[in-house]
Amino acid sequence: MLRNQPFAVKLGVGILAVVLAVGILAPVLAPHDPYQMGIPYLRPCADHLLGTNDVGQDILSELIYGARVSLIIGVVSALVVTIVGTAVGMLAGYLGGWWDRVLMEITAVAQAIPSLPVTIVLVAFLSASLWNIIIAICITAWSGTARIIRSRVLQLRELPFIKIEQTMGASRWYIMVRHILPNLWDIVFIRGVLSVGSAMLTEASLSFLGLGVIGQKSWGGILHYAFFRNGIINGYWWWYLPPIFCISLSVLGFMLLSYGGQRPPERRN
Amino acid sequence: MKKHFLAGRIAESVLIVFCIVTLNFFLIRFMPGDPVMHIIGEEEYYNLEVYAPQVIEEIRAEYDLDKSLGEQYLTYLGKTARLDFGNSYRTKTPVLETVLFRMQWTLCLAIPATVLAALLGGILGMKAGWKPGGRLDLTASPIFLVISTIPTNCLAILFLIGFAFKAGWFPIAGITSGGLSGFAKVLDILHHMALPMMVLVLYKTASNYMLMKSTVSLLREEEYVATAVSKGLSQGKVLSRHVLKNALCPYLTSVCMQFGGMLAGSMMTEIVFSWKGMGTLIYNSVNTKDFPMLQTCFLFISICVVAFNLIADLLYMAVDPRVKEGMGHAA
Repeated sequence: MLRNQPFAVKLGVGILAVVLAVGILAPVLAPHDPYQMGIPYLRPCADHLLGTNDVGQDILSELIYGARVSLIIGVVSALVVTIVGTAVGMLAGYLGGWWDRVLMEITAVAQAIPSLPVTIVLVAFLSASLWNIIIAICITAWSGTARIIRSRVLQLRELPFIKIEQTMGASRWYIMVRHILPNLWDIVFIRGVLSVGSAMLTEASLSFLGLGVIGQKSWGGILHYAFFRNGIINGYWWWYLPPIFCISLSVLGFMLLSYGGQRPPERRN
Repeated sequence: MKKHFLAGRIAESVLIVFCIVTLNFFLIRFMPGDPVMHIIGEEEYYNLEVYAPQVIEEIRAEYDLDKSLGEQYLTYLGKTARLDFGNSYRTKTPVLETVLFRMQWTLCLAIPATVLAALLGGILGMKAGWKPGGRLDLTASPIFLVISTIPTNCLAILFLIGFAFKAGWFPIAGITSGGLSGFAKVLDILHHMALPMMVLVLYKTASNYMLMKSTVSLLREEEYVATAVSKGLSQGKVLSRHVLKNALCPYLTSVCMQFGGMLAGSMMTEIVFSWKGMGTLIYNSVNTKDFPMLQTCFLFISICVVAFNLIADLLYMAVDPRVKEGMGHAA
């Protein structure tokens, strides 16, 4: 299946496989306990390949464990966003009428609320636990998916095979699940993969602001300490560059993977 | 029909603002813990609880938290409508004044950035979209793609390190060095503005570029463009008369919508460069748990977004003669 995909998709899969493996195998790979304190501000050496931070924690181990939080938040948020977005889009598009009006009005409201500020306000009020952060990220993010899914459903429901099903007396729910949904997979896939990337970006911004999951290492969090605890002024590149690299690389990975959902040009129309 | 659509859009905008105001109201009141705690901050609350419990009751009365929820809601709506956001318990200054002051510095950064990026992204995107697979397309597209995968704060940090710390071309933080006046002050501010502005322009150019490129590459396939080319019009004329005219509409709308997001869009950049705008205000309010300030910022940002979305729709309707009726979600 992967063989027919363009190089970009293979590259994306490769990047993500590495990041995923690092996240899963974190306890095996990490040379130190990322929470164990020691001598602060160590330069890279044989024992600490990327040095230590302001309280003497090993930066390489922090990075390896950080993959977990970033991936979990990214993937779970994307799942929620995609499921909610697809459900709303499908109901609004296929059922039409009042369903459509009410759902689309809610979608319009969710889309107009600026997403990063609302996430920050919510996380600042709620305590910054993993689930609260996921909820705060998802609260407006589903609206884009809902709109796109709805417009595709509007096209689909005019197609002959759906009309035939309808005249044969198939129930609305049966048609939606068995006939509409399978035809949406490519958009659902693209939107889902892209939302992982954007959720990871939001998480990185939140933890950069100091609003990350309390007591958990994340890439944005490492950058937060590197930035606000003089890592930049002192030129400790081994502290601030690796998290930047990790975040950007994973987001790029998901972006490249999303090309895999695009249909090859000859199959269009 | 046009009027009907207009009224619908305005009603929708009012509804959205109303939802946001309501959300703000319930956030303080329905979060776990005493609402007074969210206004004055946890530490202060516990201090007062031990040493001066009557002060807590005074604050409760000041913010009407001792009345019924319905009454509170009505007073809250009234106050919001009169732009009365009270004083920040933390800084002891009127919230509105602080927010407006900070807003002005954010706008000073964001307006030129949005305009510059609109021009740059539009021109580059049009050229790349006209010749897909050409030299510009092959070099610029991957660059802009990579830029859009780097979080804003990360790129800002890299710029800060590269151009301010290592090269020393630009100041490290702040808005002015102080102690200057007149023309020298303006120059100094511009010097401080350069780096954060560059970061903002890069990001916005990247998204503008991609939008313009995809619009133009679709327009290229249109029959009227082929006709124009086969008539023997020069490439410049085809672009300016036929392609630009049609591509401009969606592009302008999207730029206008970006304007709405500009209060929030520069947040990360501001924090990295310690630019004293809305972004740093939000960051400081989060750190000091100054919730009334945070909520007012959020309200202003939201109103700005909603207003410019509305303007974008009106603009589209005014500029594009094809949009006469049936626009909106139903289209």
